[in-house]
Amino acid sequence: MQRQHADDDATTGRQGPLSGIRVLDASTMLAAPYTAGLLADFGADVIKVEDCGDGDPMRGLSHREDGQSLLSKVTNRNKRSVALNLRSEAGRDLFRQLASKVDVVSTNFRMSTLEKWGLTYEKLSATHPELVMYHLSAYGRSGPRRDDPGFARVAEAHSGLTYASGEPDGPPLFSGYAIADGVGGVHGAFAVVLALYEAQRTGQGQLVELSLSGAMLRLLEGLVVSYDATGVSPERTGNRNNVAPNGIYQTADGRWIVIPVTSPNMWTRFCAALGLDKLIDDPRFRSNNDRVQRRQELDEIIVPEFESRTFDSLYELLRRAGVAVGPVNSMEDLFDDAASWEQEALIRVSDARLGRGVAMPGIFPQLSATPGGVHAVGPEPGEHTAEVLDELLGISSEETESMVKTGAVAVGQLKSGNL
Amino acid sequence: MTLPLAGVRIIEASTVLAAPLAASLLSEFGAEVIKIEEPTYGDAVRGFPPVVDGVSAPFQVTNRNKKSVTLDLRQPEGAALLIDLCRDADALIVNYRPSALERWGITYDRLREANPSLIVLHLTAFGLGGPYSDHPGFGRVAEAFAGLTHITGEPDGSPYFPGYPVADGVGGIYGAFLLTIGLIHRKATGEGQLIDLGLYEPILRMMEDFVVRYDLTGEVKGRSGNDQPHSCPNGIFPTADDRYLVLPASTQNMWVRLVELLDDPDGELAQMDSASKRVAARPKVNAAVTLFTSQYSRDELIDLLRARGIACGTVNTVADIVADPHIVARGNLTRITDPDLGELLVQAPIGKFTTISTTVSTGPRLGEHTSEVLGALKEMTPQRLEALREAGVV
Repeated sequence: MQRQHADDDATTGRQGPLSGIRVLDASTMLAAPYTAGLLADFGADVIKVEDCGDGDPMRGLSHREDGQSLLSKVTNRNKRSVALNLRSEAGRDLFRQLASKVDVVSTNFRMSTLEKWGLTYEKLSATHPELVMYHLSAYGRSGPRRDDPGFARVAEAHSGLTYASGEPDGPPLFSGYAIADGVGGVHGAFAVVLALYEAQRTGQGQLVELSLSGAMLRLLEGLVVSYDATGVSPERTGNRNNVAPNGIYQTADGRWIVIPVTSPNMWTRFCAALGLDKLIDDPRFRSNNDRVQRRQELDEIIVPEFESRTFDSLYELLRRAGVAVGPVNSMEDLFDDAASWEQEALIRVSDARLGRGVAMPGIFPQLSATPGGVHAVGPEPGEHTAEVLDELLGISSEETESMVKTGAVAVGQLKSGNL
Repeated sequence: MTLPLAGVRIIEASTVLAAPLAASLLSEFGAEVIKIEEPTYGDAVRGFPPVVDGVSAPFQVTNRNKKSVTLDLRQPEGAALLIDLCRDADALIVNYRPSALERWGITYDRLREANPSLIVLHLTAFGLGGPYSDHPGFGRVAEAFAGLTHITGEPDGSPYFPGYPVADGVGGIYGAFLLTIGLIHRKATGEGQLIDLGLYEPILRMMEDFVVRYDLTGEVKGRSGNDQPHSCPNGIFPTADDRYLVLPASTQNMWVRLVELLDDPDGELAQMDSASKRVAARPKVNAAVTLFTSQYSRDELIDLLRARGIACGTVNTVADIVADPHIVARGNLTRITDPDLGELLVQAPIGKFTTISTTVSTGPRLGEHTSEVLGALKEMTPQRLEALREAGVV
């Protein structure tokens, strides 16, 4: 049932619509590496540039097995790793040489750091106008906070998401995953392919800059315009938003069910399925706007219908009636669902170091003409230093060896497992 | 400055948030988007509050830059007109359930026959294959299905939705990313294709450590309120002026700088020199940080922490955002003119390109562009258009 997905391809086989695109991924933590990971999902040759010491600090944040970061196995899947010491001029020189051989440079260093190191877009593109350089920051390259550090949670709170999450009488609540990292990662991938499309059209590269807080704000489009139209800043509403009925309801057997009745047809089907036909033409509940206004009144009628049925019977009843409905899955539920593996929502990729397949999300989606693929788990820091320097720059293994001694580059395994 | 997607025409036969967002993102970079709506109500979002003077403010943002054409796809003539529109288009974005499209005769085979280079993005709740393929679902169903809802909320409370249906947002951006990949591929090969995306998939794909960790440890991640599983301190802390501060001092360097500000008489906190040690002592660390943040106002804390290079932030309301100098300096918001509502403040496109410009205008009235768009079709006469209107097809 659980497929050994990676074994389907040769270990070097990159496939997909971005095959032939080479990306230098000099970025850390979650969001920007996720962008490069998405490009790699669709066939781009991604070379991750990491610090010579312990590599990307993200390796120290997640669960470790045998001293290796599991998160990196996923975020950096399909990538090669080159360890360079960008604090040394020799390391920076190698970086500039590598940048001249790639289509995309992706980075999330602070602006002041890029300037100090002479690795700005202006410098890198001077002799390579086709280059697309992608820069991700917390707040953007301009504005009063351009050099402020910030992670996803700061960006989420900055954008208004955190304030709007939680119960009306409780504190603001983070969502269970650092959404801004995911949103920034996907938006970055969109931005990079847009610039690649333009480069394909005109031969001209460019600088693409994105901020985590900007990406979040763009996403929350309904909040801004609603505030602007009404002057009322959306407050925390728990699980109740601007659609009714819409929420997480508990069933007779103590499980949770999600029921968003978002369209007029869905409302009709919902009422009919629960034997509440009289509500369909009830003037109190005619439009979504009416139902939102009288949410409590409505809940008093519908909640007993949920509480008197088991999850399975309610789910089947509503699903058969064509009402959007779903379970609140834990990871265990997802793993136990055969469809997760059959649909390749979950895949296993074999890992020689761990001696087993590592489970991770598959490629989303399947493109009919040009599917992407996963051919390898994330590498160790510097695992491919020698290979890449040879392949892109013609640097011999002896030369690489001598640069290892001076500390400009590193090869192979982590120095220590303790971060 | 150029609009990279100028000349790209997208037919968007889709509703609610995710698929329309994909189209609107592409429109911001120059694509012409023709939105196909059901003739009576139009897109359900037209009923989403706040509704001012009969116009839904959320609709106007999600559907900005688009033309609106009404077509009843349930009628054979309406479906045939959609396929005709796709002959001269580059892409179709659609989010109806597979069985509905099948019933209406709008299949990928038929679309491909009409236009082999057409890129079709079909965004549904669960994707086109598998046992749930035809289940309806919205963002909240997708979030809960993908596991996000289960891990959101307090450990002893119920599961929570984030304050915005993030699956819709992420699905929309992901859809725009994929459609652009489709354009790149088509430019190289001339080949169109069907892109099949489930709304839950970008959420599942995004939570990268979620699957691998369960697989390894068998530990089912539950709800942990505002605590973060791998890092500490990282949370929302109260301030002396009853506001909140986000403080994710999750790297070792930031922790070292933060410890200097904390009450640590025995040096016990300073000795917690790894994320795993701090996660293990979370109650102690959180208590020390709370003691510190409760002594200062929010703005004092921000100055104090920023000066030391420690990541922190405010928990903004949307009113704070609209007034924020950084948001203004970045040009994150822009005003557009709407014929019904006057001026509207909306998000500007994000991602700044050196050579690419963007464009924003308001969302259309229902069917505003029906005559213009259908009138441009071959074999369309004013008489036929009138007949279609009478038959309720448009």
